[in-house]
Amino acid sequence: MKITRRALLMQGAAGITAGIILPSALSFLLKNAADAQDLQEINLEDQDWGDQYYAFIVDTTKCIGCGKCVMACKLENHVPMEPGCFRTWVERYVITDQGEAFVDSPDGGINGFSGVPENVKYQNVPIAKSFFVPKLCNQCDNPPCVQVCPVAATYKTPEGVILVDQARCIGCRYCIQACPFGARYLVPQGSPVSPQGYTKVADKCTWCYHRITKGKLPACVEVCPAGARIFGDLRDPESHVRKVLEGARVFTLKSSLGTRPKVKYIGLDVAVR
Amino acid sequence: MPESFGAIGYFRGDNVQEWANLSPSHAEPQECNNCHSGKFNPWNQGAHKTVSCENCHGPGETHIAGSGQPALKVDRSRSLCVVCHEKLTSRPATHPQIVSADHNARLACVTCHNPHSPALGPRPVIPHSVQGIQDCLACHGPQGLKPVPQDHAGRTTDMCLLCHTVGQKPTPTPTPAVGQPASASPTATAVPSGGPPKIPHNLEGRSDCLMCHGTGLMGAPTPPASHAGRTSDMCRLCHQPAQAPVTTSTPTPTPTPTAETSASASTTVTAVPSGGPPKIPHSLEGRSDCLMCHGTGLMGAPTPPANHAGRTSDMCRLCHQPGATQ
Repeated sequence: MKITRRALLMQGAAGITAGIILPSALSFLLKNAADAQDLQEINLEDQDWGDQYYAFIVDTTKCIGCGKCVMACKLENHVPMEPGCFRTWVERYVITDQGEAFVDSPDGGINGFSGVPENVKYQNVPIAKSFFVPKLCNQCDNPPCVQVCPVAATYKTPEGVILVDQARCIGCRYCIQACPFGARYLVPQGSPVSPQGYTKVADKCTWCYHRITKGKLPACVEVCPAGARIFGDLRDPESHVRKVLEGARVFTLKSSLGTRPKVKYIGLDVAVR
Repeated sequence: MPESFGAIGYFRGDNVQEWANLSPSHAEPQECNNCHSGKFNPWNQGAHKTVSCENCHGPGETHIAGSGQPALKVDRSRSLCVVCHEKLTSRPATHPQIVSADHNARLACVTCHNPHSPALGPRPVIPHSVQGIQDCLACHGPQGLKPVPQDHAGRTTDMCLLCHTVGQKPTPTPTPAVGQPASASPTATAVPSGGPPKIPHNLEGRSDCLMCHGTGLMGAPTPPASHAGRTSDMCRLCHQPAQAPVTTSTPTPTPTPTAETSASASTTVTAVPSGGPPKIPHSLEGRSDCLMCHGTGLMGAPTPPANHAGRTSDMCRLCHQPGATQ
């Protein structure tokens, strides 16, 4: 693998900011790559890093709790159907008039909430408000999971996506502990996520890296019927995500921790953690 | 140290390519449109246009790569619809929701709602009275006068009034209210008030209505232009006898018209004598030309009345039946 050009580019110019300044003659490669039948044609070696920088918006005021995103994610990414294995999931919040908050996420919400009986704890209590909150990896700009990995198996790509090199991961679970959002899980024995078949390694949302590098949307965004999930390129002034971010007042989860999440929430209630 | 380690950053650079190389499982609706434009177009204009094809049908890339094989799932059950549309406190109030137990609980949602464009719009109005009509599909079945659309295939008569309404008064149950004036409907003019005209004569021995009503024989009223193409076996689907049908072969007195039917019956019943046309009081053996005797009064045979002028021997038996053999 020839690395000189990219190495120069990335190591010399302090990460992604370099990409903004440098001309991006090959930038259309990624966007047009969706047409390519042979996936190998997407040559990251010629990719001008920093041409895209992605962001994700969750509009909690629109989520209907159907759980289709959870199912699509598992099918798209071969995430094990076993309990506890989620790249994304949907939580239901019920806030009583006394201010008490109840949270549940049966099977990650993969089958929706329509067949789920309401919690007996608040069955006869007046409910002030209730809503759904989809969760996924926040692809933090300052990711603690990357910081703690002892073998440099998890890292941030120049487009801002946190990936796990499962060939290097030793399954120490340190990153799972470090993530304040519970966005990571350990791939169980017998249900590998990657074609290489790695198990007992960490896995997490990649924003469907194999889709977004082909100009497609993440699977959860593709199937969301309510428009509650918005994905796009922050660097494209015409992108949907930019338009929404310029108009909406957004917040992030646990902003006080300083991880700088790139998943922004619209209508985030103070009860959501 | 792997070869590509440090190429991009403090990690194995090739891993980025490895992730990017994975094959997508989900396609996009535009790709579905390549083969399924018949479904895509109504979907793209309907209330479900924000619901991607794969939301209900599952990931489609394998299906596309296999030129349609394996087939994607088509779930027509209520359980699929209520995942999004069951009433839940946590859902945004603006989202269309139902309490499925109270919303035609025993019918599949797709009976009324086209899943690709689910809004019902205004309830279609039935342009005629449904009084006395038991089976809509007698006329509106696949072989009927005005068949239902193909997408109604498999629906039964008890479902019609769930969507279709009589005039301005929606009828919630399949049993129409007796005596309900059809004039309430602004579009009911095609059928006279009170429903289709009653049959003012008995039906004994008459099976082919158009034998008289098709030609105007004996002053029988001919069908209006809107009935063009209808055959005798259709008349009784709408037109009912004003009196109880006579089932025995012996002549019986005409029942007194009831109060409900007297108005319509009295105006047209005079054309045929009460009790029907006179019976033929003799054997027909060896006799084929009625007018050989009845046209001339031979052997005291009664001649036809004036209003039978122009009728030929082959018409007599259409109305006059043998009443006794000698």
